[in-house]
Amino acid sequence: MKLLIVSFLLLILNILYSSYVKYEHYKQAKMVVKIKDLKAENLQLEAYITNKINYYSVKDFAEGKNYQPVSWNDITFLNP
Amino acid sequence: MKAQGLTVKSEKKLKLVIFLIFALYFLVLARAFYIQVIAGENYVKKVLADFPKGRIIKITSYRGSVLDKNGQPLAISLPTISIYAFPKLIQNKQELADKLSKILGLPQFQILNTLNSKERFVWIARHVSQSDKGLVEQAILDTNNSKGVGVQSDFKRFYPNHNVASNLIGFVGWDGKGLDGMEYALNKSLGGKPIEVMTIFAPKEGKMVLKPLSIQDTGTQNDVYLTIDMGVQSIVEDIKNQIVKEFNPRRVAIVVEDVRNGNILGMATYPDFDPNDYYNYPQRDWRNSAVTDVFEPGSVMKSLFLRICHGQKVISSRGET
Repeated sequence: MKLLIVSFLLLILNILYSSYVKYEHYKQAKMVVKIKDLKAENLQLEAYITNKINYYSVKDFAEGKNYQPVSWNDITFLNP
Repeated sequence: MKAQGLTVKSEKKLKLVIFLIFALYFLVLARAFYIQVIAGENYVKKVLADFPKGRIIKITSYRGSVLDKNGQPLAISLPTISIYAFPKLIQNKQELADKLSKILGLPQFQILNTLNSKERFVWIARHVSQSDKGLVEQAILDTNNSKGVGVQSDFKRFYPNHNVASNLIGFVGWDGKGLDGMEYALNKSLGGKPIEVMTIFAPKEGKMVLKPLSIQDTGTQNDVYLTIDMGVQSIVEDIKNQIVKEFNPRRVAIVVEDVRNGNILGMATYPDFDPNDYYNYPQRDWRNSAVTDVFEPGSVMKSLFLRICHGQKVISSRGET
């Protein structure tokens, strides 16, 4: 009888532990998907920002604001 | 004695038989391991080659970024979608082509030609913006084509500065492998090994799908920092553009080097190209002439020789030897 009770308890514990593991696994899988989505969003935002602020757009913006580009003929090396 | 001798002999025989049985079991296990684990992919490929609907397709995976010395991105991986189709399973081709053409901005006849292809598997469009995913999926559903048309997530290489340092950075091919410049030279560090998937009929969904061949290792994807400084590079690009505007030369190559450690801070060449659509430029424009071409030093070197001679006191400042 004792053995029967012990095995029944073991069975219950096993079921409880299995459900806990399954729940944790589900939570982890959900987090992995969330991280993947966030990473994709981050990459897209990075591409959007770098495309907006690239060499050409910044140059156009500066010229639009009447910035005078440096004349490299006026630049000379200084004697240390 | 005789009986004892026989026993020893039979014992040896017994051991030999046991050894043979174990050796055979070991061989069977080793072969099973080889087929299942080591050569499993090759066997799947062999079977798929003869299978009427089967095909192996390469999907681009994430690749590390190429950055300048301050962390400014020069080349990054962008998540995109690609639209595939199994032409034999497609219905309402005209309607589907019309809808997709409006969403993707591609000519309708081009999509229709792809859908009428005799191939088992075709790509309708590759590396499309992820923002179009919902619209594309709706178009597939509306035309009742979910059995033969699908959307696959992948990655596209994006170069935010377009032509700037393009010959130095290089570009990647459709499968995400570096083909030129630093993209080619740093292929191992940047990673981005393509994922192989097979076309298979999914009975549960009742449609053709793309399924990974096995759990694939896409390798390590590292970001790579170059010694290039975008500030210096911008100056060099300006000078290059000025030279091109004034002299209309065949080629220009400018290199700025930190003489203390040999680091290359800027490198600009002309002709250049936009790595985002390198295929629209002639192959000669892809070349990094600052690295591949040999230039005659010419009169530029005279001043250097004079400086060395002066430094060694071979000549005086008056030019006397």
